[in-house]
Amino acid sequence: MRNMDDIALLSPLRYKNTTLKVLLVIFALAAGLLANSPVLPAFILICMIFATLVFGKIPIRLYFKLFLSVLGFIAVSCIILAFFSIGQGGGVLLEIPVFKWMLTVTQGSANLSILIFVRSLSGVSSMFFLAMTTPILELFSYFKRFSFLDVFTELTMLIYRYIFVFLDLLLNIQSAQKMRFGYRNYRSTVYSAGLLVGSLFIQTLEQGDRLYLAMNSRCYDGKLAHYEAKYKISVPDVLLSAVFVFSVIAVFIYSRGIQVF
Amino acid sequence: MILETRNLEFSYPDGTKAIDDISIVIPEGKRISFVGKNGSGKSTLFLLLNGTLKPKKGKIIYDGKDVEYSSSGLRDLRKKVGIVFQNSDDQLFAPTVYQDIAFGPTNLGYSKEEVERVVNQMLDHFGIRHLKDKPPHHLSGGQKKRTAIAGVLAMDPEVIILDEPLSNLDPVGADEILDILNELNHMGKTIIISTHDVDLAYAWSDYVYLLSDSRLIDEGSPGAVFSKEEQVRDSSLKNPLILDIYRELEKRWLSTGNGHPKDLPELVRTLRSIDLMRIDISPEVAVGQCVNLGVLFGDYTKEGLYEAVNSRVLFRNDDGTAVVELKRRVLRPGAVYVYNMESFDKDEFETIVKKYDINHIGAMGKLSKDIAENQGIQIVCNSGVIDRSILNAITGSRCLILTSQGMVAHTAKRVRDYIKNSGIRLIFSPIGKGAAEIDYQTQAAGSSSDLDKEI
Repeated sequence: MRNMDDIALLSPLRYKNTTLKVLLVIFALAAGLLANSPVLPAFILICMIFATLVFGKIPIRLYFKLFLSVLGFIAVSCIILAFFSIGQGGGVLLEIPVFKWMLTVTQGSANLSILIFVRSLSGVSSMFFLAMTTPILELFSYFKRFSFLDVFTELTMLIYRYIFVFLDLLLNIQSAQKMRFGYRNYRSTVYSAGLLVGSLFIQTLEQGDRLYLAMNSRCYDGKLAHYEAKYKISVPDVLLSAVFVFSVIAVFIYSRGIQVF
Repeated sequence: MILETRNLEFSYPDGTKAIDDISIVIPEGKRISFVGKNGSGKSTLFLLLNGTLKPKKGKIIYDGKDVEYSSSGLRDLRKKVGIVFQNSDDQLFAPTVYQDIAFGPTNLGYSKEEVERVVNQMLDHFGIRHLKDKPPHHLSGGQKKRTAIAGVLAMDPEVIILDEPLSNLDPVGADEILDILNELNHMGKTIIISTHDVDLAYAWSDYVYLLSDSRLIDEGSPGAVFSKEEQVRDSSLKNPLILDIYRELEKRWLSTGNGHPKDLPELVRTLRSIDLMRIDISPEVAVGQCVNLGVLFGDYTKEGLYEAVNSRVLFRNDDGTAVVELKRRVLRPGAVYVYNMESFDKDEFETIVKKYDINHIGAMGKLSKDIAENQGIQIVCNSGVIDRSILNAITGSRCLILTSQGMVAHTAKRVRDYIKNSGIRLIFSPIGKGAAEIDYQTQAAGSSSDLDKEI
């Protein structure tokens, strides 16, 4: 089973400096939010998709499968948003009579809905870029630098490790149940799911014991080694990032006020 | 006597007695197996030896001193006695391989640089450098096991305890772990394993403890412990396959000599003493007459690639066959060479292969396998390498064993011992600069004067 973290672990962009990636994404998010024309978010969207697919070598099918699932939500919300035209200026673009009422789309509301649509997508693509190229481990080690509570980071790291152990266990138990028709109707589904959760719970308790034992037998003294991903920033990376930043700024300046309608 | 227990007793909170009056003495630098069926108390005993559990009665003595159950006492014990759990997922709790290996050293209070040095050393030693940033759930079973052992070895313990080290591993993976254990043992570590694989315990260990129902049933050399058939059966175990085969052969007068052959070469050697063969024979040849069989080769030879063979008819069957006793003369002996891959030099290697007419290359240990693969060397054999090379050499092949640093001396010892004990004429020599040097040093240290460079 592949999950987001596996995708990130296998991506070549994993070996780029985390700080650079995080800063770029924060910049892209902020720029997308500040823009008042849909041109800039659209530009960021294209750049981010390009970077993720080409530099990050993420399989296209997988990427768009994930992207489409988000796109659906955003599209529906934005279409509804377009009809919230009260108080939005401009001429009427579309009127749909529904019984004795009128659903109207004005220039202002149409522009707003398009802006929000593109903005959301640019945000999503930026976050996808980070999530698909930076394993959660690297993010941990990154947050550690801001002196987050050590206990918190260490707990998260242990939890992270065992999520996968229990995920495996869950799938195994589930297929064992399916094999013996544990989910054939509503009643048995509820019963089997209950058993599944119960046995997982007991297993986690026991795993906790075993974990404590394992740590103790290796002289646990309250310390967990830090993971430091030391990926250097290379000159081409900086140049490319600079090109991106400056073109975003340029697009921001020249696209002010440009609207679709 | 590095580790000792006296009248050890332990029961779990629910009252089940897991360890009942066990007194053992573990000598330093040996390979020791605890054999017993599931639930016989092996794992519990290991947790006691490591100080993780506290005995109800009796005591544990490490290096002549009673173990103290204070936090500093336990720390000292756990640093010296490392334990590798059966399930690697229990052992590997850190999110990356690097962090997991660094866990022990960090908690022992090493400086940051020191931790880094130790971990890097382990990564190289176990051939897992490329895995260092991976989370454990991306590793294969063998890789997990190697990481787990590396995590324990990083604390530089004197005794390493492994609970069922080969369970759930594929044959080649298991062999790699076994190579690692042998190497560690050769570095002077005392290795203790638990297993219910009698073949492993029999062939691998220097000393065996047999546990059954929380009690110590027997102890001794593997040959001695496993010769008591009834006792082995009563402990829900079975006889080692090789011993069974030997006994069956012995009953049929097909083998004699060594009472407890440990591996295939030793078993084959026991077949030697009466050299009989069944051949087709023409009706006019009578019992007692000689038949010249000409030159035999391949499977039919025992000591060299080609053998000139004369035979005397001992017994005639009705179906036109006869049993003859063979007299052999080797036309050319086989050879085993060992090469140190850590000082690999392509030119030197190619010259060696050409000059010595090598036709069988085996690699031992992860590191040398990796180097061989990178260099595009064709490896014919990657498990049970020493045994297989000896067997091939006996049939006249020129075998080259590729291995790394610590294993050179171990290999040399195994092959030389075999040559010495069997009296078979094989050529053995470490070749290449790296191997010859190590061999020279260890020989000088061990002052084994009876071994020439070529036997």
